[in-house]
Amino acid sequence: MDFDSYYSIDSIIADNQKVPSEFLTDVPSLGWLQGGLDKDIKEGSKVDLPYWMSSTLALSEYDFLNLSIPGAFSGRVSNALLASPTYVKLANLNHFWYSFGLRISDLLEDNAKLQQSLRLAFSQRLIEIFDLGQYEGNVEDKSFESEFKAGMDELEKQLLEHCSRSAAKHKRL
Amino acid sequence: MSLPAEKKQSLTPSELSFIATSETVIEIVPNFSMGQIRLLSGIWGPFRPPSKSRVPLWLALDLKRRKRCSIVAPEWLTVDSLQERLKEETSNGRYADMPFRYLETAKAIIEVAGDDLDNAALIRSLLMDIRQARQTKSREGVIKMNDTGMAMTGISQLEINELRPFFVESFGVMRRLGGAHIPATLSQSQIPRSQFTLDEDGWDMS
Repeated sequence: MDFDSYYSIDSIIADNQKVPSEFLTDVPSLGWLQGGLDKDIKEGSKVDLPYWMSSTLALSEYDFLNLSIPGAFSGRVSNALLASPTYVKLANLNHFWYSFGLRISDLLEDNAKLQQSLRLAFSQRLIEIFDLGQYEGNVEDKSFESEFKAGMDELEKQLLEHCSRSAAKHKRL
Repeated sequence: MSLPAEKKQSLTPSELSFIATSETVIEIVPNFSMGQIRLLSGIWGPFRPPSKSRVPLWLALDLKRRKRCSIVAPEWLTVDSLQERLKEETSNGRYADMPFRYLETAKAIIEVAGDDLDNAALIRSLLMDIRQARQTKSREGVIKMNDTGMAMTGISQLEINELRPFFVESFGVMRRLGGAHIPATLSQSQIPRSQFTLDEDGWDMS
C-alpha cells in the first residue's frame, strides 16, 4: 500500500482528486479550467481543481486560492463514521478515500479530527475486511456482506484481495 | 522484482511443507538392516529392526513410500493428546502449545503413513477443529490490531504465513494513518477480552 510512492498508480490517481477551491486573484486565459466559455478566471470564482495543482497554488507565497474541505471529509461523513463505521460507503465518497484524506489532512492546520476519523474508519472496518477475506459466503448476513463490499475504497479492496487469496491458498490442510 | 506479488509477500504452503519435511526429526521402525548413513543434515542410523531410529521426516516419508519402514507417530499426533489440546484451545484465550510446524508435519504423515496412525480419520478431524479454534483467535487479533505491535504467542508457521500479507499491509496503513488510538468508549466496550490485552505502549505483557 504505497500512499506516496513515486511509481504507485494509486497515489497518482489520489493526487488527481478534486478539491473545491476559490480563486483570490484574476487569472487571464485559464477560463477553460471552469469548463465554461469565459476567457479569464475572475476573482472569487469557485473551481474544482486536482489536489496536485490546488495544493501547490494554495501553499505558494502568493495567495492564489482558498481551499475548502471536499465533501467526502465533511462533518456529516465523520459523524456517520462515528455512528457506524461499517455502514458508510467510502467508495461513494471517494475511491481513494484514505490516501486522499491523508493528503487533505496535510493541508489542514487543525487536522486532528480528520485524522481521527480516518483512523476510526480503518480500524473498525478492518475486521469486516478480514471476515470477508476469510469466510466470504459463509456468513448469514449476505446482504450486509455485499453492501459492505460495494462500499469499499481501493485500499480496502487491495487488502481484501490479499486476504482472500492467502486464505484460499492455505485452506487445504 | 520479477516475482509475482503473492510470492514476494510470503512463502507458499508447499514451500512450508518442504521446510517442515527437512527440519522435523521423527522416529521410525525400519524393516531392513543397515549401518549409519551420512547426510548433509548429519549422521543417521544405524537401522536395526525392531528397534527405533530417528531420521529426518523426508527420509522417513521416502522409506515409508518404499515400504521399508513404519512411522512412529509423534507424541502430539495421537487422538488422546489432540483431544486434550482441543479442550485447552477452546477453553483458554491463548494458543495451545502445538509444535511450530504441526500442520505441515501432520499433513505429510497422514497422507503417506495414515495406516501407521491409530484412527487417522479422527486425528484429521481433530486437527481441523484445532485449526478452526485457532483461527478464531487470530480473528480476535485483527480486532485488537494497532500500529505499535502485537504479540501472538504460540502461533504456528502456517498460520503466520496465512496472516502475513494481510497483517503486514494493515500495519503499514495504520502506521501511515498515525496509529489507531481510538477513544476508549468506542473500542473497548464491545470487544470481548482475550489474550491480546495491551498495555499503554501497545505491547502484550500477559
